[in-house]
Amino acid sequence: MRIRPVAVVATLAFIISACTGGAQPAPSASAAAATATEPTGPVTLHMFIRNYMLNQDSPLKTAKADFEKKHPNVTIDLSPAPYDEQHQRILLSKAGGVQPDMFQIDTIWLGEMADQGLAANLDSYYAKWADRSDVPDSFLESSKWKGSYYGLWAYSDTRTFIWNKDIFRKAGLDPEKPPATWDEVVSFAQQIQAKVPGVAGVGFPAAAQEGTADRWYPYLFMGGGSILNKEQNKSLFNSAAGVKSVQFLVDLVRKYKVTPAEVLTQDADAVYDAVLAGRYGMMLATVGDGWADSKLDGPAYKTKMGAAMPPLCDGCKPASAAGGWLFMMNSKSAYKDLVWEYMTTATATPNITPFEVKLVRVPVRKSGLAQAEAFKADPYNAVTVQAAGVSQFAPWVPAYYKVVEHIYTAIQKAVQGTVPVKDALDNAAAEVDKLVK
Amino acid sequence: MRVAIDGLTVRFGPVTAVDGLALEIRDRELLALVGPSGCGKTTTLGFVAGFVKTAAGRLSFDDRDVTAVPPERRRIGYVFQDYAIYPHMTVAENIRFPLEVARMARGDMRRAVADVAELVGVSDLMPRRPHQLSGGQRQRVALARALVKRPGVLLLDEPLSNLDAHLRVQTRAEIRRLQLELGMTTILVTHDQSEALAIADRVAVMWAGRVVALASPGAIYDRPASLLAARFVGSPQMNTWDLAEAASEFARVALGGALADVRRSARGVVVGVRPEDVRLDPRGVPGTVALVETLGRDILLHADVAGSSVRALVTPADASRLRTGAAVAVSVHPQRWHFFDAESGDRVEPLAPAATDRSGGHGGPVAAVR
Amino acid sequence: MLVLLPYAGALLFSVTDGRLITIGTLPRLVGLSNFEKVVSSTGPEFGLVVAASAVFTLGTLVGSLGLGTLLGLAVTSLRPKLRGPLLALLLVPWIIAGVVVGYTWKLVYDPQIGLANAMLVPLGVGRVAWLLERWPAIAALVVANVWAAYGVVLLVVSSALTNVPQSLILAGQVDGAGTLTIIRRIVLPNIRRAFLLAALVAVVSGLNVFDLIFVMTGGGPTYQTETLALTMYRLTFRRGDIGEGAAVTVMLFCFSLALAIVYVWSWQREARKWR
Repeated sequence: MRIRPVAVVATLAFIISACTGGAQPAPSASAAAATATEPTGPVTLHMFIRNYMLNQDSPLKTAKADFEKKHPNVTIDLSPAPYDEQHQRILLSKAGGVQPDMFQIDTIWLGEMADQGLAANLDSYYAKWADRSDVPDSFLESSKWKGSYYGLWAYSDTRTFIWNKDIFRKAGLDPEKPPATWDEVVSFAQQIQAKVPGVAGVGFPAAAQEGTADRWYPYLFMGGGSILNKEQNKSLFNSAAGVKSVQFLVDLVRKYKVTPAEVLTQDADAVYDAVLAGRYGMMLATVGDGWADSKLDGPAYKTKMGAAMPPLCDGCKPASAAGGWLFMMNSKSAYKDLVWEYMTTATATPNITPFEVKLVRVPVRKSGLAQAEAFKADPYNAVTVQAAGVSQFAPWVPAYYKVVEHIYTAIQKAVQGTVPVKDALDNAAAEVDKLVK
Repeated sequence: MRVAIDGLTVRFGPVTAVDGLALEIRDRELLALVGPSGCGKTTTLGFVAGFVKTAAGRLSFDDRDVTAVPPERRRIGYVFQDYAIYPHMTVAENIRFPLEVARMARGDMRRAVADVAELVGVSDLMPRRPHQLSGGQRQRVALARALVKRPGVLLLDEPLSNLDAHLRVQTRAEIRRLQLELGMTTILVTHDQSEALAIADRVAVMWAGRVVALASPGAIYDRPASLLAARFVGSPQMNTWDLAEAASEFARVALGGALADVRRSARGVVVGVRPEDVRLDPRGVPGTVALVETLGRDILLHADVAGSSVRALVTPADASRLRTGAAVAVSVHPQRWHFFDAESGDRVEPLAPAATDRSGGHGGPVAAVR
Repeated sequence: MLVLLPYAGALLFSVTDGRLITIGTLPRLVGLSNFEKVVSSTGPEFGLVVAASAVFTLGTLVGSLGLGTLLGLAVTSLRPKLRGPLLALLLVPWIIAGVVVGYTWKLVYDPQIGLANAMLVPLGVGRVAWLLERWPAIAALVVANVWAAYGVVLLVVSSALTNVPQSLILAGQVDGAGTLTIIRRIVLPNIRRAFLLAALVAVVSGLNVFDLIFVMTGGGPTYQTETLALTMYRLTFRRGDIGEGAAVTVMLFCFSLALAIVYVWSWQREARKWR
């Protein structure tokens, strides 16, 4: 089965209404995890995880402690890595070296990992899994490749619009009122540049990086556009919605001059840092990304930075893009039952929700989303969960990195002004079609 | 060209390398600066070349003050101890370099290089590279390069010290021949006093940054102006005794009555006599042979005479009779004694001729008439 | 042998259809088609990458050789007491990791807050968007890389300079040569072999620089500053096409090897001339 973006939107929307409409009783997490057979000798399970998952409130650490108590013969080894290295080391583990029993993947890697037999088929586990009904269909869909389950969702994240309240104040704008439309983005940005010297009105990443495309997707989606068709074998991003949304970015730089052309050298993190440092007024971002590293505590950060739904174009519907992380089991792991037990324990709602609240992630489980108070109370969580209701995922085809290279290169060319927007997207679409057909 | 150094003082940190030196080198003269290492002779040469930046003092060429003139404009030729031949250039290129720098016309340049190569005898080495040359050949190339621009003064820094003994004697004669032929004012720095004596017009002996004797080779040998110079010049070294010390008994005995005249000339006296002036003399002061050293043509005899250690140069014929422990008697011609003030080291002349009382004294005749 | 093993691996990969994802399985032999794919690539055109590599490498060579030599001459003319600490200070950029150098210089070239424009704008030069256009960006990268790479030239040159006998320089003086003539005709020819070595290192470091460019421009915008080293990374790790990445590695290796051969050959020629 292939992803159906429309279905995803619909299901996510359903979850939100369920969540805001009143909490449903959550299935017991402890009942969900079936206990695996205890190994007879000492066993170490190697887990390749992202580096920030080792912070002190890590759900992987609490699950590890519980798990090792329950299975005295088992040691969980949590091995952290930054983003790029995580991707490479998982792929390279196929050639030898330390074999991870479990590894954490970005949603866009799923097809790549599943396609070559690196990840174990989890169909039999899902079939017996008591908590399966706690996972919304959209997430179940995006756990699959070619009709079979390969991943177990951990947590999701969504794109929101963030702004620097200090800059808004200095510009004479209401620091609590972000732009709601593209026109407002332009006028607010112009006002910022007129009133606050040395600050660029609005930023977006445009470097030769995957994030350049990722931060553009919400603008594409809100006009009714898609990246690929339902079958994920043909480009759709060069539609009218695609041209319109890239033109918006181009206009910010070339027409309104509220974004400096230097964004061509800045990836998503760099622009995020610049908004935080007060060199850009606002941007479309993942709100949780920077604050843990910002050396500000949560409350201080929130008085400085606002988060809202992405601003809309004329006649557009609210939309955003979602990403997130799943766990996969190595097809070569000798302890699949143990790994499955650890995976489900770690992602169980009581264990993972505090982490999601703190890092502004979106819960995958219905029981997590149902904890409405925890998410409503926090302005960031409220908006990310709201965005989740109207989000689509990026495709997770095996060739995604090649696909996205064509997309961000097209955006770069358009922003540089060397190629008209329509031509840049058409050329990229033609190349992408060759990759996914 | 005449070179005058006046009031030269050079200090390297706490060390005074040259101390108020004044020296004049006459036109067309070869002056040798000799002294032990560290005496300041190379520093003095460097001052003439313009290498020494921290010097106090004046330098003039003829009557022109050139103290402030940088080395490249002094028109000097300099042969370095290591020759400093440019290793990346052929012999011809090395010799031509000073002329090229001076932008001499091509034809003149070719002629000048050929002439000097002919003069120095390196004509058939021209295409070679320095690493293909022997030590003596390198020395000639260095000399040719120094001479090619016809410098006003030629400065030679230990030019022979890297050559073997045989080549050294041959080359020093060669240098002298060239110097005379070109009539080139030349300063030769050497630690080898025999080299200085052999080819210099005048020899300046330096000691601890000062000139302690300056004279022609003959004069500096026969009448050294200071005790330091007397000890430095001549090989084997001069016998010297401080009359205040017990070990000088031989000198007291040998000088006899002349001693009184000497004593009147200075408070303390050091007397000296060159080994070649100590003669075997059956009527001389008796002693025993301590050691017989063969130097080649000459034999150096070490004898214990009257409690003093005495060195004497003797002929092989004489030496054949001498064995360690054998009895020997020696004497000195009264004219051959040298006297120095024990405090200043300056040469002193006895007030009355020492020879007047030659037959007096203790223990019979002390000096045989030559 | 051990040194050559990784190259053998790259050579093998370059003629297979290996992809990052298929590592561990036996790849098929595909002959030279990886090379053909790399050379005939249209996004970006291979010629664009080769031109950027060539200009960047040449710029690095000329710049670091020039700067390193000038500083080497300046440092060795100082008193020994000052020489050591100053040399150590001047070598710092060379020791700093490329990533750090990259971020530092990226800041320097920031059009708003960067030092480059802060210095140039008062001189009447307009604000330059350094890293956005092909040639200003390559020039900016060259300057940054020269800053990062001159240290090795300085090190080699200054140690060679201290081995030039003082008497050669004094000889030059008495022969009537001024300072510049002495440097040009006596000092520099005497450190020619050190130069060769420094030049080789500078070329190879220019050819293979990755982190600095990756941080400063990422090869962009739109591949405008992508050098072969970045192409190799993009093909291998971003696209996962190990075969094509290895083909670029093999090209880089062959070029470096050719340089090394030229170096050894000219070194021997020099050696014969000398001793």
